[in-house]
Amino acid sequence: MTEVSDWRFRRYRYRLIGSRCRECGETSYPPRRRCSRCGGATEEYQLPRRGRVVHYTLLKALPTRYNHYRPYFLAVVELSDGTRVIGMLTDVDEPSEGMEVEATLRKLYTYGEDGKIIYGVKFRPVL
Amino acid sequence: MGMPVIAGYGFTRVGEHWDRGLKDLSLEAIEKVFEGMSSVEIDAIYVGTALSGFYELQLSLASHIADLIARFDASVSNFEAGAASSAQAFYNAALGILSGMYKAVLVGGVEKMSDELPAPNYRGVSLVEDSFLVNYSGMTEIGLHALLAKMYLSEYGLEEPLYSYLPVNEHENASRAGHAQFRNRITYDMVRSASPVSDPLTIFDVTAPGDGAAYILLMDREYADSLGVEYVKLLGMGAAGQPANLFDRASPLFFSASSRAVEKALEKAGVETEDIGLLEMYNPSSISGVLVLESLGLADKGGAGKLLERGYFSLSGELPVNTFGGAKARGDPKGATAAYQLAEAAMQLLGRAGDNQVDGAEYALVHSMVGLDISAYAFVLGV
Repeated sequence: MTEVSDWRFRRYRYRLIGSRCRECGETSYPPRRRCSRCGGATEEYQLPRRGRVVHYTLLKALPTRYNHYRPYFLAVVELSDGTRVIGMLTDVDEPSEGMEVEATLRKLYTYGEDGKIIYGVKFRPVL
Repeated sequence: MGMPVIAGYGFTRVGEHWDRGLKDLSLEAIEKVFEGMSSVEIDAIYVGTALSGFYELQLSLASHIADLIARFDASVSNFEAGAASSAQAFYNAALGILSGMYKAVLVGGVEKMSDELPAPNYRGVSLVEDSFLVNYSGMTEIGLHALLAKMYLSEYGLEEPLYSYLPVNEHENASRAGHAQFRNRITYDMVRSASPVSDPLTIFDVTAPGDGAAYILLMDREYADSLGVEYVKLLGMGAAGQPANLFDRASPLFFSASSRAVEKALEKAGVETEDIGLLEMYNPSSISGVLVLESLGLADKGGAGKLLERGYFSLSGELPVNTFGGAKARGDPKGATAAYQLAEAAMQLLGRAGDNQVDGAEYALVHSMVGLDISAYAFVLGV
């Protein structure tokens, strides 16, 4: 990824914008251009910000760019409309299955010689 | 012209070959392929590599492999598809021979993973997954496997992660395999008490980075007969795919691409599942292996762990699986992994598996997949 692709994906990174099938209503995040279920055309769709943790894991095998969070929780979150997404948990030491969470904009990492900062969606416990 | 045959194979030991690069490993493997064979005309060279452009900054690898062995009359093709890179190469090499254009294709793969540290490796091997998720969600391949393991235990109401008997079996099989990366025997308790990489998975539940090269000589059958070489027949092959995003799938626990690819390969070969004498499957983790077994209908849903525990899939069991240790214990040098699987299946069918010989296997099934079953390949081999 370069700064150009980071810029191109900014809407989906910042705002939890996914897609919804115009034919069958199937929702996805990240957005798809064609529905995985029926092949129909999709439209952009603002996903709800709130949901609950379905499963989570404490990831210790950390990839480049993320390895300053040592370790971090990766979770399957079911949003209030039923869409399931994958994302990092933040502001939490002991998550639990079923925990209510909401999407929040956070720093993901910095990279490159000039330290570009990349922001994106993480999930935090509902306050 | 007809379905091609595997007329030769060669590979290096999988491990950390600090002092040798992509070309050194490839040369060792390729020289073994041609060992004891009179001059063979190679029409094409098909090379798979997942990350040669990442580890050694070498792209267009097939051109450089042709250069390495001075086969300048061969056409060259590159394949990049994670651990299925050389499966993809093999599939297309077979099509090349089936087309009648080629009589012999040198096909294989190579990877040099020890050139990088763990963090870039975790990133590198995750890049076959959706790049948006890998770059912007914190997701990695291992993290996905861990979440699948959680889903699996919860969906089937299982308390014990019996899928961890799979690496026990794989290390057992590798203990007698000279080319395996990890030849130590392990127990279920050792797997469970090892340090977690992403709970509930521990370091023994997942594959490690490894260096290795494996190549195969795929031939038109008549050409192989004219050379008088012993061979294994490729009887059928199949490929299929499914959405990369787990949540765009009907069920994240069903590997539909693997299932469909195997169905196609068996149908083409005219072979029933029950006739398969051994399976070389690709599983970068214990949980993914159990999901492959269950998706292929070789175990009930949620039930593969119990079968593993009682030795059903061991060398002396009903259906031997990953007979030289699979990706976990033989090793997982991504681009080369599928070529190792194909070579190992050929060794079994030719009766050259030594201490690991499975008796009476008439047909072998080889399975490969990209990431978590985004694309899958299957091959049925027979004598």
